[in-house]
Amino acid sequence: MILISDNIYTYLILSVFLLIAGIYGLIQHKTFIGMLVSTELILNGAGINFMAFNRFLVPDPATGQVVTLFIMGIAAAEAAIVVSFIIAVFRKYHSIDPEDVIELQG
Amino acid sequence: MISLLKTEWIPAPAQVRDFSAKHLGESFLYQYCLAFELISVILLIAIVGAIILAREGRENKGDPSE
Repeated sequence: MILISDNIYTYLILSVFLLIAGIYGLIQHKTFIGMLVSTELILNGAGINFMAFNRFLVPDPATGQVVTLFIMGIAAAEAAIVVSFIIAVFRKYHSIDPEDVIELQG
Repeated sequence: MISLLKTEWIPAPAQVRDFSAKHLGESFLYQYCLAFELISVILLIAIVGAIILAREGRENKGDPSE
């Protein structure tokens, strides 16, 4: 019997699904919060990919874990930046709808 | 997606199944020391930048309590 959790394709397909969902959310962009969540989805898809390759294909098991933790750190920094950016945009435009922030559109 | 399913993934010949936190911490401190320090600098810059971005426009709002 083949376990579904012992198969690399499970994790690769899951990460592809996360990437597609994140890109779809970024294209749809209803709110800035939704775009932030979509970016987190993309980064976590990359993390799952790293962990899958690390678990099945790489001799040293620490490499993928280290890279995944770095990805989590980058995601945390990015979340802090985006939340403060949302606060600044709300102070200036009194809205967090991306359709309202069109001052650079010419 | 198709290339993902078509690729023949070759497993590692001799895999060290040591997923312990001790091994992870040692590789953080020896092998990935520079990246570990750089990520702390990046987090510091992100926090400072977030504070600066969020504080901007707070004084010239005309708030009498400030």
